[in-house]
Amino acid sequence: MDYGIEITDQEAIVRLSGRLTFNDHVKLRNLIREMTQNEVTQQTLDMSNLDFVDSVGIGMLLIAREELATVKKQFVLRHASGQVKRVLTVAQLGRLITIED
Amino acid sequence: MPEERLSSVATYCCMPVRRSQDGFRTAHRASSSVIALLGLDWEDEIDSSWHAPFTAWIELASCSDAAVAELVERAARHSLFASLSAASANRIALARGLVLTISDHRPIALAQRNDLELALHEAIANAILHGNLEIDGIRTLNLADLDRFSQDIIHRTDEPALAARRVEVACSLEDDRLQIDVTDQGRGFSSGQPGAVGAGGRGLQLIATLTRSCQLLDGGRCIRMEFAL
Repeated sequence: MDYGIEITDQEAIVRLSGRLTFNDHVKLRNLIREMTQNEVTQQTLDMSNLDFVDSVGIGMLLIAREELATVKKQFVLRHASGQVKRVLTVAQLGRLITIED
Repeated sequence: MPEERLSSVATYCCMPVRRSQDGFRTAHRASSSVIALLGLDWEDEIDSSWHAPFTAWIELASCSDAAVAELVERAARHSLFASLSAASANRIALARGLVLTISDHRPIALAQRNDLELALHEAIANAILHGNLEIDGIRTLNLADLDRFSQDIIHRTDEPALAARRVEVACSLEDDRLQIDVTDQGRGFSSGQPGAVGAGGRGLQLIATLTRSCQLLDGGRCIRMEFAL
């Protein structure tokens, strides 16, 4: 998995690409740090170029949400499709994280 | 792989040896079924083997010729078969490759292929992480638990005895069903252990949702999944 961050006045848009799996633990740790430290309140993950997410990837997204909540930031997942949208649905992540089309 | 080792293994298994056009060295029993024997520096080449007529992928590391012959015999009893060390299985997208090959043998709709890949990936990840490397999942929503998980992966894959443990995937493809067994060499798993708690524990729940049936065998060292086709 790779990511790039674009920061606007209202939100930080994190563009993810590739496959988010248990092997991305170091990158996710770095991403969580960057999201908690930047200056905007809303952190949005753009998943349109993400091909695959596994259960550990889901778990790491939940940790990101928790960490951002402790610094009073919102966490939004956007533009998931295909396998990624399917796993977010099966894991019922919409109950815990805001998911936008 | 050194030519001498390939010849030695192929002779032990009574199989001829050939070199494919892309340089991938293989031993095979018949033109309809090719076994890839993975020696050294194979990870960059393996993507070219995820299609028919390849039906098995066996890593030779730390295996005697007799052990390889036994794996070849097991491979012959299944439609598709893979046996890799935990360290190698951790570095490649094994589930993706196997599903590509399955769909080469049997056309599968994209949505079903996605579900198949996710279930197989989860079973393989369980075998690598919780089985062979004996790593606890991320049980809380704390960053400290993610750090512990991360350090465990880094350190356990550096332990030769754990990293050398095998992950075995055996697929039986029939007319209307696909059965996949994923086996590890860890200490086993009790189905009574907690499910989704905090950030972890969703793997088995996802598998149960995505398969027609699934069961834990051999004290949790093997998960058997069945899919309707």
